[in-house]
Amino acid sequence: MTETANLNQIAGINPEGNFPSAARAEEKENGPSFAEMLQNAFREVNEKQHQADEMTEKFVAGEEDNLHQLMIQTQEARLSMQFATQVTNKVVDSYQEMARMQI
Amino acid sequence: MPLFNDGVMQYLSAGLDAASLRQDTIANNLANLNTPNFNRSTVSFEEQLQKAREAEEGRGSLERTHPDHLPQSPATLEPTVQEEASTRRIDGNNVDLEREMLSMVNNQVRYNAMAQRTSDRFDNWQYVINEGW
Amino acid sequence: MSMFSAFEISGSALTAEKQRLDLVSSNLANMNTTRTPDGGPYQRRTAVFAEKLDEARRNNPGSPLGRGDSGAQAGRGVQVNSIYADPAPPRVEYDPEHPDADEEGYVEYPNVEVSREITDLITAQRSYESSSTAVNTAKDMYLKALEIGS
Repeated sequence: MTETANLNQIAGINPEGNFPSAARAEEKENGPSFAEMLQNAFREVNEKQHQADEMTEKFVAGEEDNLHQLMIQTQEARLSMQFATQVTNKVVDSYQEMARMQI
Repeated sequence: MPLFNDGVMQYLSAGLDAASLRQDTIANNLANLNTPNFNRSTVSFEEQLQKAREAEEGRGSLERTHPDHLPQSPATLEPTVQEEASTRRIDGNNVDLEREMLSMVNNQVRYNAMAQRTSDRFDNWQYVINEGW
Repeated sequence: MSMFSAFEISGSALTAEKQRLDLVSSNLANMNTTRTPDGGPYQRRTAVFAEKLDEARRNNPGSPLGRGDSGAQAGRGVQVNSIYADPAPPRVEYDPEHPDADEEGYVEYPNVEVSREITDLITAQRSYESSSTAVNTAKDMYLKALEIGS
């Protein structure tokens, strides 16, 4: 299990579920919608976490001793997650604001 | 908390244990650098871990779908201390100073790297708990 | 397993090698002591080093390292078991004028050889330095561990 999978449980993020009608309306236009972009972002974060975790396990087992690669991977995974979190926060904020406006 | 104690964390924890034990072992070897008839000892862990991982891959279980499904999990391996009977000096001692020093430096770097990695993981969770919505 | 065993182990070496150093100093200082309170010349003193054993291994001499109470464990370091006088015969010189000369004019000098003492000195220093480094390494590692989560 990756950190991100656990985090999803904590944060209750469900990229598809939380953006129902607004996002689907956008899908009809060209280009990726918010929902898609977010999904891609999360997938990438997941991927990076996977890579960092795998490299860590290899390092502990002595199969891998490229220290700086390990550190770089770790930081990349970490930063991409922080970035994704911030983006999600902003998007949710704006969505909530829009939702308020409709009423 | 099982949520935070996933496979990678178990690896890191075991790895740190092994490195800590190795520091003790090297310290003991160095302390007995001049003790007659002393055998140096080493810590065995990484090789065992590699074998367990290869076995796991051989079973085709590259993907761990659930953290509790870890049969003979590599991360449950424990490090062991083994005495080594190699070529000795006249006084019956087989400790090689340079070799021990080199081993110690290598071990230190690995320990620090694993500690750092552990720290980073906690940082990550901390961040999400604090900043995530 | 104890975090601080590394310090104890290396510490035992520092103590033991310091004792060796003290003996060397004593030997060198008394190189020409022809008269001691016990009579006769000073005798070179040397230490017997042995592995420090814990309870379990002391009761089973010759048993290997391996498992302790809390899993695998390393040794306990080193200790000076005893200090003994070198039984090698004293160095004899002919010097009838010397106050400690015997009836035939021979003087007994201590059985201390400089080259040998210097060798011991270097051995002690080398060992001391390596264990000192080990202490610093352990300290560095555990300080790093303390940073986890901060």
